[in-house]
Amino acid sequence: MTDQRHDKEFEAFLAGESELDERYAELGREEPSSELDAQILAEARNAAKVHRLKFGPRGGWLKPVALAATVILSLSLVMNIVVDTPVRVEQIVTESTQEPARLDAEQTVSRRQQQKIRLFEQRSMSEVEEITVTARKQKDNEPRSQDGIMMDVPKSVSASAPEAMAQTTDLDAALLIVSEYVAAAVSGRVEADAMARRFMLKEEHAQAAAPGLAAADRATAASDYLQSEDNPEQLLRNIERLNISGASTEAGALLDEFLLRYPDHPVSVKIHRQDY
Amino acid sequence: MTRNTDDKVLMVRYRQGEVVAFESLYARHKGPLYRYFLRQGFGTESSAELMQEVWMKIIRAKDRYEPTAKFTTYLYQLAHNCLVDQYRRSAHKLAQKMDDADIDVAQLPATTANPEADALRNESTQQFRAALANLPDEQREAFILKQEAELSLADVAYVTGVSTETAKSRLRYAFSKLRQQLAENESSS
Repeated sequence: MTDQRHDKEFEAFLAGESELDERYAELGREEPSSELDAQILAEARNAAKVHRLKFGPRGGWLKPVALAATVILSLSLVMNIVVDTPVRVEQIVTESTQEPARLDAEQTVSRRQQQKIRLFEQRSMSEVEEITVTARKQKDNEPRSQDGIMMDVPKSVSASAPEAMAQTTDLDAALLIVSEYVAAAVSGRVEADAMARRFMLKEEHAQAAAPGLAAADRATAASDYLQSEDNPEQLLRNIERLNISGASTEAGALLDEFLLRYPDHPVSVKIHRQDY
Repeated sequence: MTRNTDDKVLMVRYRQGEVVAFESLYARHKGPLYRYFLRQGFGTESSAELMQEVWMKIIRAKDRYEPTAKFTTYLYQLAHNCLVDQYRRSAHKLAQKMDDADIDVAQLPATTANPEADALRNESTQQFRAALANLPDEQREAFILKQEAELSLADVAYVTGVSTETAKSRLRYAFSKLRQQLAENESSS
């Protein structure tokens, strides 16, 4: 009975209708001082002023513009991803299916490149020796001035050397040029076959004036070579003609060049460098 | 600014820079909040400082205010945190008696023409004040939140960070002790 009465009174208290509520109200309704009110309200005004400066009429455009920029950037990014995704998948699938063929092709190219470099190295070394000997001969025959500076090279001597050496009057400089060629070829920085072709042309020009072969034949061969750069059959004919005319060195050089350019082209046994 | 404008709306308007909205909000809640601290046993000065601290927090955090819950629960949650911090700082005990010097006589209800009745009522008020001060910390806070802030049981629980059942239990104990104390005072007088 007492508990029930207590519960009812408590319910009345929760509803704000008990005697305790009246007694509590008698405690009074104290208020903070007016100074404190003024202080707090001043702080509130200052904070609102700062807010107006940041987001007011002047700064009000910042937030929407920033939001719009963010949305546009995000959308463009998403659109790019969506547009790119199928292509990328397609590419991946295509690449994965083509991967073995591509690897084979790369290996073939790599083998050809290595073969070219090897051939060029062999040839370059022999040329180095040849150029060195020629330059040494020039040096021995060349009259020296009193202070040791080389005089002008006679035309007959310079014409017998490769064109690259034609203007070179110093043995060390000649060696430097040749060694640079070799180093560049070995390091793969210079296209091997392009170098070889350039070197070959120079040599042909120089050899045109050399004894032992009709100058007209050599000039014709060099000219033919220039004109038939993209014609393997013509090149083979040139090689054969040079071989028949007795210029086996030149024919061998041309054959090397030919093999560099057309490693898979059939070459007859007659032309093949068994005689070089 | 009408009297019925929701506290949340006022706070949102103040967030947008409307000072008048804050003035209305402050006018509504300054008294109950001040008395919330005062009835806990703090003097007028400490109560004023704590109240200022709470309002400063509201002012500084206005840009982050989201009208998800009732403004009153938001306000008294801040007040509760300040109260707890104050206890930690000063090792103040809620059971500490209020200093009589802190009682603002001018704020007490107006006296009547009957001096005997006034004296009796003042005595009764002092007894009730003493009984309130003697309550345990949590029970007194729950009681004052209910009386001053007019919070529901659920809101009292939310503000103090306890379950509704715990809040109800605290209020029930506070109610019982105060009623018992008043009955004893009446019988003795």
